[in-house]
Amino acid sequence: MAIASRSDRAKRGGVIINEHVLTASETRRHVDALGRWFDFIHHDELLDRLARPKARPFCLLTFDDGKRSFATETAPELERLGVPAVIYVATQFLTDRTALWFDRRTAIRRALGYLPPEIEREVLIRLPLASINERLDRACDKYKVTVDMEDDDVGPMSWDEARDLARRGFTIGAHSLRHAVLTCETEASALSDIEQSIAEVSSEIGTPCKSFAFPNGNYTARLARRALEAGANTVMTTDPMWADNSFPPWRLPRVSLNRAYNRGAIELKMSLATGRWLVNPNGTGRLYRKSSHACEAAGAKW
Amino acid sequence: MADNAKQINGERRLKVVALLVGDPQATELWTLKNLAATGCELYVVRALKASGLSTAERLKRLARQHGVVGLVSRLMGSKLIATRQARKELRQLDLLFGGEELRGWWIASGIKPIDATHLNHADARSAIAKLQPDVIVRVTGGVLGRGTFSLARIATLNIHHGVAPRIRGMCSIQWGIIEGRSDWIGSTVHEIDDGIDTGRVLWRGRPQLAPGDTGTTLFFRAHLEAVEQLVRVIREYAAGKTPESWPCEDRERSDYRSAVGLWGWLRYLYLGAGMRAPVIFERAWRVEDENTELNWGRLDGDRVEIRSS
Repeated sequence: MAIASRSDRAKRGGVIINEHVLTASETRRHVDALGRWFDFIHHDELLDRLARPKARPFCLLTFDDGKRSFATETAPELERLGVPAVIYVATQFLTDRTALWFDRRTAIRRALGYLPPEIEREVLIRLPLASINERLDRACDKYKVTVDMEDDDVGPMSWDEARDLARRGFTIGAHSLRHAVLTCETEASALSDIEQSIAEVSSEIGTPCKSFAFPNGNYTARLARRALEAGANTVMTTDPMWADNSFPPWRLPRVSLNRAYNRGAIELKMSLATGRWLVNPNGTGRLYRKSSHACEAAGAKW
Repeated sequence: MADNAKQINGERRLKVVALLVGDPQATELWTLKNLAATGCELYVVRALKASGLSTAERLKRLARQHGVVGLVSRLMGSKLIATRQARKELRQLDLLFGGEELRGWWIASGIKPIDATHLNHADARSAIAKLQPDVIVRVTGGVLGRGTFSLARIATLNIHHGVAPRIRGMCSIQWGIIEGRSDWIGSTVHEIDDGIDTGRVLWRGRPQLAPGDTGTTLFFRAHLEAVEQLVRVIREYAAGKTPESWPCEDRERSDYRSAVGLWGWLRYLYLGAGMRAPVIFERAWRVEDENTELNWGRLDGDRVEIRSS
């Protein structure tokens, strides 16, 4: 990690971390590991830090989906530690309070001890949301599986909790309506999903929504452009790399961390992320080691 | 209105005959299931083979069309690569379409296919004529002759997996990948006429081209959307309407490709192999962005200015 922090990328930027659910102690462990090497920043500082890098690399923490556990466990611990964060909420998940598709899939796996091939993750992330739901409805009926929405790691936070978090300094971003893999939808439906989710965050929170994160990390430039047009000024992917000023704001990379990671695993992952060794968790299987980065090839700087 | 037409909620109950060759696979079952869901009277005519030509006649015709080298290339491509590739893609499509559930539906539907020699054979034509279909849908099979496609009272429809008439013929999505033509990748619902994929276009569209896509995932998404539109067209016919023609640019350049030869298949495999595939797709995707003048964001204080490249 010490070598990684002296690399070119580290000198030019930092990391945007993609988390999902963490308990208070897991939050502490992750913040301790990252805090040794990085300055934690607020979302509002991100573009400035990318444009004007400082000696020490930055770290922006982001949490996807808007689960209740963020409000009950993670946020209080982050506040105690003085670490800002962004929460990307799937807006209709908060509104209609029904389980997200991957939590239903997890519930089926827990109940059966295995997953039928037609609902393996590798298959589902290639389907439009309507087909995913149809398949999971059928499987839940067949195996008599229900999802425990009382579990804080499964159920959504309320809009009141989201507003409260925004008042306390956390940034609320949009993460689509119901976590569809947007590149599998028709383009018209994906564009409308992005627009609507950004508008819903703005109207529910009462301040303009400034950031959008692609569910599952799958994106195209046209979709990202729509997020910018709808008012976001940063758009997050799951390209597993350090962020620097070679990335346009519509394609900011995020390194995903698992709740079980210890300090060593986190440092190893941060080191690998400087060299483009990591596989994108969005299912595209991209290895960046040999592929050239689009915006670098296009010579785009801002 | 035909005498045999029934009324359901003010809509005519159309008699639809679906044509296919061999046992239906997941892709065909998906089309049939969605057609059945329109509430039409659905019949299936199944041909045992794709064409009435003998092997020798087919070879002679191919040699005349493509020359001896072209013929050998096609034969080698078909024997060495296409068959294996098709098997692999069938397995993937079976998972994507949910083949197991579809086969369950097929058995439960009780639809008994009427067997025929091939779709242009007299026995197929007589079976179709007896059914007096309002609409014929070619689900799979070779080129339909006028004697077959003219048996429909209203129209004979086809899903072409490619953007017609821009690209016509077989394997259009594969050809789009091989030749780097992302504008060929898509699907078209059209009426069948005497030409190959030249009939009146009722709808055409393109799936999103995203990093990580393969020929199979693009085919899958193109087919999903095309079937949805085919169902819309059938419903419009059932409501007594005539679907409007899809606006295709006048004098649009039209390319025709038949079966992929050995060189084409090798290139397809090279482009789709391992970690190279997403990179190639990303390149195509980037070209598309340049064509549509992707707006790069630029830092301007707290806001991002949208500007044309």
